Amino acid sequence: MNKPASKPLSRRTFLRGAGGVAIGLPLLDAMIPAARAGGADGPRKRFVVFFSANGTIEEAFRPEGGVDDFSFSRPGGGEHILSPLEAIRDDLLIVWGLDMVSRNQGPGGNGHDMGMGHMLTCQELLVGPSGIGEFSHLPDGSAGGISIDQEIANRIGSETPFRSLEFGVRSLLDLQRQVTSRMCYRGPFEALPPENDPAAAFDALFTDLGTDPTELAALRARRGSVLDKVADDFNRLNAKVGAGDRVKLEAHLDAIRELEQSLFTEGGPLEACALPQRPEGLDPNSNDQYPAVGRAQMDLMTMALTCDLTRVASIQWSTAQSGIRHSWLGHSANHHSLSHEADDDPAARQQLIEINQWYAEQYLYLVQAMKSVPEGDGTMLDNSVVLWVNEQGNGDLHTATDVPFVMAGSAGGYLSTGRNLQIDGRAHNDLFVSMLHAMGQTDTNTFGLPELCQGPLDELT
Amino acid sequence: MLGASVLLGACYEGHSVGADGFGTDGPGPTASGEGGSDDDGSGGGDSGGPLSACGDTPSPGSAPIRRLTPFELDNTLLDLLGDDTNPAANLPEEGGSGFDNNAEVGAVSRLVAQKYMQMAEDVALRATADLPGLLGCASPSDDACLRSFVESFGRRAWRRPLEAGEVEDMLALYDDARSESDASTAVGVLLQAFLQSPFFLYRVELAGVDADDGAAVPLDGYEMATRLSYLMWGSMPDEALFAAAEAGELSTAEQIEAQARRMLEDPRAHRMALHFYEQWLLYRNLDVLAKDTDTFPAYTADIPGLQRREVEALITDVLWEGDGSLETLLTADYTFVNDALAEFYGIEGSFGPGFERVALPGQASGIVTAGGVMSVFAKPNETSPVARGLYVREHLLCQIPPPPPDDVDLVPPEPSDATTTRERYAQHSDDPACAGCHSLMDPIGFGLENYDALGRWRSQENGTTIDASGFLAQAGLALEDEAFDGPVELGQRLRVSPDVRSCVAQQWFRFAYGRTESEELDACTLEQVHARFEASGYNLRELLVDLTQTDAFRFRPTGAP
Repeated sequence: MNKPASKPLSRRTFLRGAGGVAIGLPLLDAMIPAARAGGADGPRKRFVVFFSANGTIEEAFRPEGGVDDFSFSRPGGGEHILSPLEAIRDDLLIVWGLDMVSRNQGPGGNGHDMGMGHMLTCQELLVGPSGIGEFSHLPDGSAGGISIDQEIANRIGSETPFRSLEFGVRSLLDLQRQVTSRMCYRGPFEALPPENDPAAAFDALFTDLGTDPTELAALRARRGSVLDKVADDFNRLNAKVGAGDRVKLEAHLDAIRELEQSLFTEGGPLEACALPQRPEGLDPNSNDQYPAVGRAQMDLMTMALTCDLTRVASIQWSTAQSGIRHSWLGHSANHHSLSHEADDDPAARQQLIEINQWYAEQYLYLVQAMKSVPEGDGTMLDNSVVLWVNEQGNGDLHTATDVPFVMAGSAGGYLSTGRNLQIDGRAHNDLFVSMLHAMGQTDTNTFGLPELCQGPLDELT
Repeated sequence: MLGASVLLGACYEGHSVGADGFGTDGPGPTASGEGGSDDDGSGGGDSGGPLSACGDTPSPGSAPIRRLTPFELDNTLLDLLGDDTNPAANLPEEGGSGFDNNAEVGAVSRLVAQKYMQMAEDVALRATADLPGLLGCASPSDDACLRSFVESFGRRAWRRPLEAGEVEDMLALYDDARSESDASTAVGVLLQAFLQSPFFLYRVELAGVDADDGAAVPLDGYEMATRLSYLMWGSMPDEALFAAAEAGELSTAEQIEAQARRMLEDPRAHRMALHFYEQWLLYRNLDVLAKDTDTFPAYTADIPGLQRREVEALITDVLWEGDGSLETLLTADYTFVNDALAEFYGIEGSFGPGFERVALPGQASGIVTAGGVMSVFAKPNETSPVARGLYVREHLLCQIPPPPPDDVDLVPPEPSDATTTRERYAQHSDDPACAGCHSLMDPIGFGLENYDALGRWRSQENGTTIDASGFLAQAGLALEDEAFDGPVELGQRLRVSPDVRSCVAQQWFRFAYGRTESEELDACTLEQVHARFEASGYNLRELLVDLTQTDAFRFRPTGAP
């Protein structure tokens, strides 16, 4: 599916409206605080997570060659999963050898549950209220704490209307195994549900752009007074309830305050910020529309980043243990089934390579979209990191070792890209310490379980 | 740790889970009484436990505050304002322990707060299109008219009478908005404030909130009306409940039971029951299946929806037209089809566009073999004895097997024209690394091999007659009953399994109370539910009433929850 047409918006276009539709400047202004053009504090930095599931095939994924002189080819010949990324090779930083060490401890058992829960949090899972956890699925489990995207959002997200945005592509909730379905956590048992519906995402992000400026000002004033009243209700209630309930109600109140604050943020539009078309006619539950929904989500994410609606975003393709059937590749078995056949069955192996190649193409699309946005002397990608993660290494064996991580973008020069690294003996916690440093957050040298951390990965810079 | 669900411990080497009451060949743990096993304390069918878990004072367990689910919001806005547009459709699904209403997980993010705002604005816009109709009086400019609207709407929206100060605050909010906008808009602002308030979005219970002695207290009338309406209907109370609350007639067990029985007669109870069953039996996943239409060209786009209607018709029939028994739900030898679905299944006969009952003796066994369920627990292009075995273990027996170990090469057999699925899966029982656990799953799934990956009956696979002999170990059955032949016999085994009965009660506990049970704190409630369920002959309609007669339902704990 083609990228939805975008209309470049100059200030004048906004005021005049396009195609007879009055497009409101003030709200877009509101969504773009002026202080964010970069400048004194350096460029705006963005952190993006891209997830695909079920592990990979190392020999088809690992580049051949050394740190700088690598190629996306295989010693024995055959297709390479990363071959679509040749076009952005100089923007890439590929890391092999990191282990999800934290997965060796704590409850849980299934490699998909464990992998998903540890992937962005690097700490022990928590057993839920039912107590089912040891060597079992985790019907009530949760990641043990905050995920790296949310940690970064807590630090750099307060200036934007959205601290972070979580996009999903058929990331359906498994009510009996939530841990397989969710990767972003504000804290224990506080998973952030990804938005699976591009139309709903559009509405949340860009809905008011068609409103007349005068009307919009009035609407914002009304919203402000309603939210004030609602906040009063929360405060009255919070004063009465017990501690456990208060935690939930205060999180809700915080969300309302964030929402209210964003109504009154002022600023001027950024150069490349454009109003995308509302994605129509997509069924987010459809297996066969998976590619089209994903494409629409990546377009919306790119524009949200371009318009500085957020600086932290994630796109979760399916869930851990993805049961997507890649019908558009001609596959009749689903991804998870194929991942367990690949080591023994050449045909399944070929299909698994095709699936991973397809995800590489999606990753390429997102990275190139970000690279097409001019920013300062370079592009938005230059000030970003787009991190491709997977819940496990080898999907057949559910391994936590040798989990591949692919990054694109240098985070404003922090990362030295165009390289293929082997880093042994380090927990993946340290990769996220590096991500914090890359985002300018150098006051910490740990993330997740501190005893697994040695500090940032010097090799990356 | 509590273990309402049984761990099939140590079913393979290297992962010994510790004592969980599972022997290799003994009866299931529910028969072992209360000896500290991982069983949910239900004691299942054998109510002969020597000591009651219920003491002199009520023991309600925990009562975390519950936020309305999207399902409940849609229902509530329908009843509150006649809004039939499913206004909550865009809210994310949350939940855990198998159900979307689990109060122990989830948190509202800024995006969700914005969605509540959008929902409230959209609902308000529709509701204010007919202002006199909404207000029930001529004009909001009339002080008395507006005041009476705020009081009456507030009572219904917040499910309790507004305090005097709350009424004044809402009137002031209206005046502020009115000074800047027209009357419709200002009333819309009022509605938005009502609908985004925690008093609407949450089921607030404050009875005994000032007490800190940890004693259990009964709920006040309005809180009880709300508990009843969301349990029985998944929606707000009706006027009869509000009236009973106001009159103080929701305090005794008898009063509560009478209301529950009245509410069971309402179609909203049918809708609510189906919302439980679609999650417990997971046929909700029919909406998101990814079947291979190259392998199965007959699987046209309308089939999953028809199969959903089929299983819903079956459950509705058993619950509300039939005897309501768990037994019938598990063993009914009939289903419901229309002409299109009958053609898909290859069922002969003449059917219209509507669903009609059709007898399938020797093939059908209630929800155990419902086509939609068989299809959900299968792969895109073939059946999966493992998935179907897990369905029976996890969903019908409430037993959670351990996952496969990380170091085992997991190779599900390839579809093949040459052999039956059963033969291809034989590796699981041959390979000692797999056999321990898979002996608890695959032999159940083998017994369902007469249903293909789409839930259609078949007697042969690739020209070979299906061998549907199976084995149902560790389900609390007598040893001689563990072997069975075919889906109908499997249904008969499940019919007499004490573990299935316990499981149904456990699942309903979780759904009804929005939380997982605590073996310790909920022992009395579990005992109450099981005793009544048994006394009714395991009647699923009565079980709904039973759930209103427990300590967990009638009381709430004070002090810090």
